Amino acid sequence: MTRRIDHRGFIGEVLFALSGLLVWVAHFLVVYVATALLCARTSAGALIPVLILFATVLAVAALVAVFVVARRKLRQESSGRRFLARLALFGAAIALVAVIWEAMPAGFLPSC
Amino acid sequence: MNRPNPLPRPEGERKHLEQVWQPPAGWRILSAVNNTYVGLFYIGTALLFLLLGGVLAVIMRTQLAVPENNLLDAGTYNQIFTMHGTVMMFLFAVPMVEAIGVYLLPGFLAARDLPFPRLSAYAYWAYAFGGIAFFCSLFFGYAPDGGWFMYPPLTSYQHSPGINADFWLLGIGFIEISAIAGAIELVVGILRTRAPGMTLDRMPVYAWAMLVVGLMITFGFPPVIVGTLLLEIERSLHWPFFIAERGGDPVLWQHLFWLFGHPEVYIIFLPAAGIASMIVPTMAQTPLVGYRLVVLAIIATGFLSFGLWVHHMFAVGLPHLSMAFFSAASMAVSIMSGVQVFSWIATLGRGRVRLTVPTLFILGFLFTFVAGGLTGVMLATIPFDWQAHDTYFVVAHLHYVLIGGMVFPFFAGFYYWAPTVSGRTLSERIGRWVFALMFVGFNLAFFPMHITGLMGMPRRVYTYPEGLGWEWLNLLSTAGAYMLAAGVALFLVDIARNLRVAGKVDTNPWNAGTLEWLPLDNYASRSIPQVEGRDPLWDNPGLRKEVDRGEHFLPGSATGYRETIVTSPIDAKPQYLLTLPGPSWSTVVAAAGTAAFFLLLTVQLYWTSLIGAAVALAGVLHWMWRAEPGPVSPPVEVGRGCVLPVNICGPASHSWWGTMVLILVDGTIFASLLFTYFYLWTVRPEQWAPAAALLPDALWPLLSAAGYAGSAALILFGRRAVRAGRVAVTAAIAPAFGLLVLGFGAELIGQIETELVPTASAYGAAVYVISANQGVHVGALMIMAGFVMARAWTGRLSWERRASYDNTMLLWAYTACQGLVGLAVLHLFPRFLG
Repeated sequence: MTRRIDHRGFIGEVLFALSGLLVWVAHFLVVYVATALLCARTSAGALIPVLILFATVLAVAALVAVFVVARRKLRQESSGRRFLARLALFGAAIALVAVIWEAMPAGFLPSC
Repeated sequence: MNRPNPLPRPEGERKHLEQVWQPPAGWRILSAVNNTYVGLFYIGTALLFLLLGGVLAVIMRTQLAVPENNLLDAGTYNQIFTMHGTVMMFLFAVPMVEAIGVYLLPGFLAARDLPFPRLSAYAYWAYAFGGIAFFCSLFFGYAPDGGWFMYPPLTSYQHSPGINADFWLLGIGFIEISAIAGAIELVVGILRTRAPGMTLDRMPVYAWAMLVVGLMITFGFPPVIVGTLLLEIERSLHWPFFIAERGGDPVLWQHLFWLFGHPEVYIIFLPAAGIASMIVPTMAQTPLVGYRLVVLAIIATGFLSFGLWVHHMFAVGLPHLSMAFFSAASMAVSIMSGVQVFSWIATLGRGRVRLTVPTLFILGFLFTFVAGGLTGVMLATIPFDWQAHDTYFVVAHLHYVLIGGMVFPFFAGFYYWAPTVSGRTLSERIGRWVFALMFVGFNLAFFPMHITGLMGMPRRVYTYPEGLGWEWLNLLSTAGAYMLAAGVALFLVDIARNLRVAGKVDTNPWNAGTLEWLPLDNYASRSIPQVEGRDPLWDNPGLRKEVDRGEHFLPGSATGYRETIVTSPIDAKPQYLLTLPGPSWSTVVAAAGTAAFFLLLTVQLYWTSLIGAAVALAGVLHWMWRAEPGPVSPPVEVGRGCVLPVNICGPASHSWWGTMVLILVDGTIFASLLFTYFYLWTVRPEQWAPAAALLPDALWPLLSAAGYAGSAALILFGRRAVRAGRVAVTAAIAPAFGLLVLGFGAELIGQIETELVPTASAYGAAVYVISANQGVHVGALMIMAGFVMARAWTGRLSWERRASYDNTMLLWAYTACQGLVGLAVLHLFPRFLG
């Protein structure tokens, strides 16, 4: 047993495992804040659906990237770390459903 | 398999361990800090509040049993329904969640205790003293009466003069402190004190749930702390955060409250779901189906629950599209609950289920929670919500979710884990009656409320006229409430007859597979097992005996102190041995001082309250003075060549991790203040825009920024001074503090020199409250800096014993960053807008 304790890598590993859900957070914040700000402070409400579409495409692309990286990690990592890759994979899947589902109302509801 | 320690064990090893962990005798037991005792005190007190909140519910139901009843007047009824909600949410549910965590988690993780026992004890005592005093406000007619979510303007100074609302705002203040103290303990404990080999994918689902809940408290409580702080400041100093005429907005309170309030529902539900995920496999005698998906569902719920808060505000008049995001998120979160429900059903289907009392409560939970979840999806649909808003339909829904989703699984847990306290199960016969009375009573009480609500009965009315068709439904609800109360009373009878604290326990009556069923004493299990799977007792049926014979890690006290093994957060590899503190009165004193401070503030004895603050500070300083013994021993072997250092410092240490969690809390508080600032700009542009005269000259913020940056650089660089000795430490800290004061002082003087007055506008109030928050940090750092220097001058600070410096340095760096961000927002944003 070595006296040198390696604590590095934990934050990176955890952030990766949560990356799909963090994409969901970012997307949710962007669409909510953008809608609130554009409605309250500007007359550019018509821009909102375009902005949401753009944010959603970006979020979906990011989630697909997480998915691909997580699958690769799943094949390469040792068993303990594979669990984190699997969490990332599942998290990206659930985030994908939530992102698309939450963006859909922008297609048929008035913006403000 | 080779076990870490060979037999026979040295004579007297176990006896020595028992002596080291000897609990204090007689009334001194109140100074105990280890989880077995604090956990039980905590659970007992939370149960007391369940009873008190339940009595209030029965009084309300008696009042509503018949129309035009005059048992209670409207004012008293207002106090009772406010206290019922507040007590159940803040004094029963959240504390019970943390209490059971504190009691059970070391068992699940096979740790001797969680890493900060005195913090748990402080959290408990602050809650117990403060909670009881807060409840007593009811007997003097001073109880809050604005509803448990305390919406302004009703609760601000114009419409609620007197101190009733202050009791809520300050009374709940220390409950929040207590909850956060508990959360830090849970997060660091779960990540760092797991048994060797208990990798993240072998961690019990309950521990996963509590880890997520600890983090949810970390991010969820700060908004309500800020909300209560702002409302209290508005009430006492008349800074108009929520007053529309002066640029404030009452809806701001709703955002801050529900930003906490909805995650709160899952803070309560997830531990209960975790309990179900432990009991179901045991009762079906088969591993949980879909472990990984259940863990993911718990984590994802933790995230999505922060995207639901506006569904409490659908009737406010927000833009339709904004509401639709929250409506969709509210539906999406039900997928995660669905994953868990199907996992439990599949596990029950795969195994041979024993219909014990815990199983009955779990089945009751499944039925009730699913029903409550479905009405939740109904309410997430905005047009339906508009119809049902503020009616008894909502009352029915929230009780189905909270009683079904939390109380039933917790009762399952009481029956399931009672043998870890007393060595034997509670009465199966009485337990079945308890379940029957509670389940039937609950449904009889709350199912009719769906209909009463749809027929238009609003919540929170103290009485109702005859002839609206609500009479028999209300009568049924009242009968059900009495039946539910009878079930709880019978449970107390069962406890009184069959629950005795045994101290030493060796039983596994349900043949469970997890480690809390190892033979236990005050020190938890005799040795700490190497974990090889998710259900260690099923994987190795001989493990209980091996552990008790001392064949696994740390079979005695290696250093002569109480101790536990700290492991790495992902792979659970042993890293160092942490010595733990023994009984202490300083936590009790600190908690009493904290409670006294808040309660004396409430009754407007401002100067006297400072005595409470001084007592609290003295208690904390006394506790911290003895908190870091340093490497009390050279590295010790805990088993099979595993040699561990004792009490390390630096980024891998538990104290560094605890401070980082605290900084997350602190950062979220600051983010909530910034949210307040930007929110007011968004919704009140006409009253927000400051004239140029209201902005300080640029010299002041520049001077302030230089002070903060220089101060942080000195304190970070000064870490090396710890090696050089006390003079060097003083030479680093003293000028760093000077620069910090310069940073804060320059900002404050700059603001004072303008014509900005915090009472005149919400903008001014927001600016000053952000500065005041910085001032509180500077004050706290002054105490910490003095503390570190005192340790240096008394020979208690060295490179191997520098946690006090490290923790101060982390908070210092954070404070400087917070100051710089605050300056950027307060000075650049208005200039950017022109």
